[in-house]
Amino acid sequence: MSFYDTWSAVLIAAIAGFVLVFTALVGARLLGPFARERGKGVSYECGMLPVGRNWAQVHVRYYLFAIMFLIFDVETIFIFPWAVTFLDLPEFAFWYMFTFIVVLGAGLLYAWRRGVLEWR
Amino acid sequence: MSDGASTAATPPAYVPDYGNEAERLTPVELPEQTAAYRIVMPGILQTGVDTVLAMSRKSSLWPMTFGLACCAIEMIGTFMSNHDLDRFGIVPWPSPRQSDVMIVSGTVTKKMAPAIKLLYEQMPNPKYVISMGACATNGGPYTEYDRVLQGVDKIIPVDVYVPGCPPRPESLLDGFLALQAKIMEEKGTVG
Amino acid sequence: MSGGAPADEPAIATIVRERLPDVPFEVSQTKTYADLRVSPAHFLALATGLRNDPELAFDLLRNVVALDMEEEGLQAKYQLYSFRHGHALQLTVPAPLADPSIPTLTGLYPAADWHEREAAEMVGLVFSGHPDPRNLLLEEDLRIHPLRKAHPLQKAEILQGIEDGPPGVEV
Repeated sequence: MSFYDTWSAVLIAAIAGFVLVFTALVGARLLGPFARERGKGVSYECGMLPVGRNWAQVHVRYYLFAIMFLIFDVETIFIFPWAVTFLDLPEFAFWYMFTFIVVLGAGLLYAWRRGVLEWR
Repeated sequence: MSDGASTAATPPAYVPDYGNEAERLTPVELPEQTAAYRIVMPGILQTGVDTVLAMSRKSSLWPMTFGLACCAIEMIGTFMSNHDLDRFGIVPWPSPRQSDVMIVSGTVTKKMAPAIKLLYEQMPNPKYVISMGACATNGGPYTEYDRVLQGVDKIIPVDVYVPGCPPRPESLLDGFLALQAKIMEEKGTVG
Repeated sequence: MSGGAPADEPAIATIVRERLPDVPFEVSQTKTYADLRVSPAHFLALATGLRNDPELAFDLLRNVVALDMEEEGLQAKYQLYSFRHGHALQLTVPAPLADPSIPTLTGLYPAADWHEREAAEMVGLVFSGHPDPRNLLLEEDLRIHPLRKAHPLQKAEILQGIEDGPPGVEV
């Protein structure tokens, strides 16, 4: 397929998505009766009045997960284009990527030995 | 401790103190509900939209299952495959936020009444209530007992009463069909 | 035998009389339990003896029931069981309406905590020495005793037929 065929399919899908969601929201706004009752805005807690703040605090130990994910996600993004065009690349491209992965693997080994992968 | 008369010293009379219960048991307030399309659309189109809306609302009633007591078991039995309610578009939904109809199945005690009121208010309009079983209808076997609310219609407006103790699944099914008929009947007047 | 116990007494009551001779009680037999009726003044002594004595060893408080006997006063019934010996017993403690006070068993049986809270709110017994005398099942701000005979009833709700009109409308 040509360039325009593939990307026009994407355009039609995007427009259809927008139209569907927009219609649903606007339709609900127009067609739904609304009554301003006193308890309607109260947070749902099985009929009881909620106790405490509605912000739950996440423990700071989750930052380790965030960092590890970020690093390996960026690594994955670098690997994707290499993998897609792998067969057209010269031979040394394999060893470049190999080195890249080994370096990051060393970082993973360091994190592992530091106990980052254990839940504390 | 004798007075010398025929009766002994009388113990202190029993005076119950109900605290703040009266305000907890006031019926829920029902403000006006209007839909935007009534203002925007000309009347001739509104009837068509009303009919379509009524048909779609009755075909997709999502009950907030509010099982309180024994009637809940029969309600669960109605949802299960033998007396399938799903074929009517009735999908049990535990949260009030996305549900259309509240099935009050079971005894409503006065301790539970404020929770029922809050959950009813948290349902989006248009909403309906099916009072399932004798306890939710008028107190049922706990007639005259002080701690049981003699019927859930004392605090929320009820659309369909399903009698029985507990009602058989076919009865609850009949209640749903009656609710569907009611929705079609009052299509121009809701919102 | 102390106290002149009658001959047709249940066996467990005889053993209790032998082991705890200082506590006065009356014996009767219900369908399932041998029942010892003891006054609130001697109740704690009897319960302590029943629990601690190795021959009796009633280590499980199965149930606490509270009754309103109208003119006679209020009553609490305690049902005890012994894992070691396998025998069971019921204690009846009457309390007059003017002073419905019974010593608490929470020091001996931690299970009595909630049972006594429920008995207190439902019937109006006062358990002296209870560590946490709040309402258990009723709402916190209610001071009522719903299971008393004197507690007022509501109006019976008759569901009208179609020809009677909607509720609340005089037809």
